[in-house]
Amino acid sequence: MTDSQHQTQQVPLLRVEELTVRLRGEAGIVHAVSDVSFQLQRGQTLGIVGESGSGKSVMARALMGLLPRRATHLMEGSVSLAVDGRVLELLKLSEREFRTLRGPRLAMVFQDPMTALNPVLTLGVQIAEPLQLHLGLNKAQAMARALELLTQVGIPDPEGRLRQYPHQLSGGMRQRVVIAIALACDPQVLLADEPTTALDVTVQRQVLDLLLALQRERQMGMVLITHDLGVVANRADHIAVMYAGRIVEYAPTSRLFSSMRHPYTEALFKSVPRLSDPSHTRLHAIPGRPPQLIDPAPGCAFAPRCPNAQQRCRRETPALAQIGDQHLHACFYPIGSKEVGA
Amino acid sequence: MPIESGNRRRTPAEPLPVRRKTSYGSAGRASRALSFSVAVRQVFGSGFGTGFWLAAGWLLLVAACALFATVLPVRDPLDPVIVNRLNAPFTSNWLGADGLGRDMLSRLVHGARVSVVISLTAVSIGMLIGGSLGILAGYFRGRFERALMAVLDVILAFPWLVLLLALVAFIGQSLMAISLAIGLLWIPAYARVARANTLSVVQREYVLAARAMGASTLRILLREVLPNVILPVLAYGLVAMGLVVIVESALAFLGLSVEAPQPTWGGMIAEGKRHLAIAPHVALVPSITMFLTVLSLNYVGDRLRSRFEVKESNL
Repeated sequence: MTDSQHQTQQVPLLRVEELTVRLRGEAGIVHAVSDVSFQLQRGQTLGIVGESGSGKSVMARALMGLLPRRATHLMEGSVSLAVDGRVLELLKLSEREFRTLRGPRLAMVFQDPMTALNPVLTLGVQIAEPLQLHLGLNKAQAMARALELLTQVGIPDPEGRLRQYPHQLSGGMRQRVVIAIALACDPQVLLADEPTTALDVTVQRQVLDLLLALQRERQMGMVLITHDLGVVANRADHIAVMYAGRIVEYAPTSRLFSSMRHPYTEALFKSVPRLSDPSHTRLHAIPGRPPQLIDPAPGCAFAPRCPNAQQRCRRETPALAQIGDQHLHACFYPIGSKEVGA
Repeated sequence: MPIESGNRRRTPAEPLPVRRKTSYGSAGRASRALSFSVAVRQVFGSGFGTGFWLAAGWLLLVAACALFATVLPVRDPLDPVIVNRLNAPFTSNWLGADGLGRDMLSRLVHGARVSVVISLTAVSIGMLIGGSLGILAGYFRGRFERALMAVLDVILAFPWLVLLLALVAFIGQSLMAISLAIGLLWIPAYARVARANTLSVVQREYVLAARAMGASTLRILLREVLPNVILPVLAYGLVAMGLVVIVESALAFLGLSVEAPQPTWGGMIAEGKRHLAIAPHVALVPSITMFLTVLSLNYVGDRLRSRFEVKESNL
């Protein structure tokens, strides 16, 4: 399956190594992303899961080069993107060089379709503009392509919609348009930052299925960011669980669900309500709050909320260690280890 | 291209009726059965009310007077007819005559020119320069913003009349010079309005989304920010014009606006001051005209502003 695909040593489409991002906040330096590494192959989906404030969105923006320079205190590590047989180091690109990649190479779907579209431009213009900019199409060609894209994302009456403004569409329809814009220039890597969080549950599923279908059809690499394990459960090939700016567990999806090791992953998993539970089952919540990322205390960031935490967890930060084929976690006392018991 | 023909087919039939319908609904007055008012609304849109149209009508009248002053059948505003001196209104002069026997109606009509030209030019200058500065400050923030805002605060804190007197003394009293001087005075106000609106627009995700699709800074400013900032800035324009009319007449009252004998409303009021005891209409008629004009500008401006204000729900 995906594993065998993985072993054929191809150059990964996107390789992130020890990415560290520090932002300037009002109260101090925010350790938003620390030592994040992962790889993404063509045609694969990586799910990144974590609570709000775990650094997922900052990481996505860092990958897109969208973090405001003023607010960025430090950006370290390496992000390399395979482009036409070459490997580009994204963090070293100038803004001008980076700009040519956004759209045709890297694209992003944003969280809130209510604000992700410009209210004063028609949808047609908004979809056509990047096409004219990057692919050099003329207006008529770009509009024809926009029509095609709207059809692909499943918008009924696409011709009529081209001339409409964002406020004339429902949330789900707008998110489809946002997806159409992101896909306009045929990107190799699509970053979807909580693409369905702002949508109705019924629409969520449709939009996710659409995203996945388009990703398969175009063989894009997709990074699907969410706070909901259920969203990535049968959609991602691999899952990275993020907490306080670090990846705490990384595994192929089926393996993660069958043998999760990090207590945080388990806590996230338990907090997804299940239909099979008897009614009035208490909803599992993770006690406490995610830590603040300004001057983080030493030790494992999850320790204060962790049922397995011991002395050592409060002193040392566990490193991400490989425990099996492509399965990594950062925990001294993972689930199932001797010290913790079952 | 197939879309083109599709679009053309749709244009007349679809978008317009849909829009009308929603605006009725929001005004909640569609129940009024008077077919005349329905017809009026179909032409003019709904929800503005009679006051708005009266005010707009008055403004149109003033604009028309300014535009056609030379061809309108009024007397020569500069011709002193001594027998008509201080004539009351509704005599041989419709609105009376001033201390030199010049026809007040004619002077009002010609004075409208000065008011209209100066208010349009001054507001355009303020809008153009102040608006651009404000958008740049709101978008780029940082040192540029702080420096600009500091300078603007200083200008705002300076007594405007003194500043204006100095400017006029420096660049002269022609129509353009006065417009320019008042226009410069409006830059800080516009910069603030534009900056405030830009700040809120820049936070919207579509600006980030445009960057994520590889748009350059210039493109973002022109396509994403400007169109969303321009409406509130324009709507502020009418209210600003009202204030410019007052500022201009204050200058004229001090004898520092466009030079005599060119009639201006402020100059007429200053003239009427001398005859206040025996012929109050000489000062009152231009005062009332100005009052109505400024009131209309404010009223129409306010209504337009509340209509075009970018609301959270529309985004």
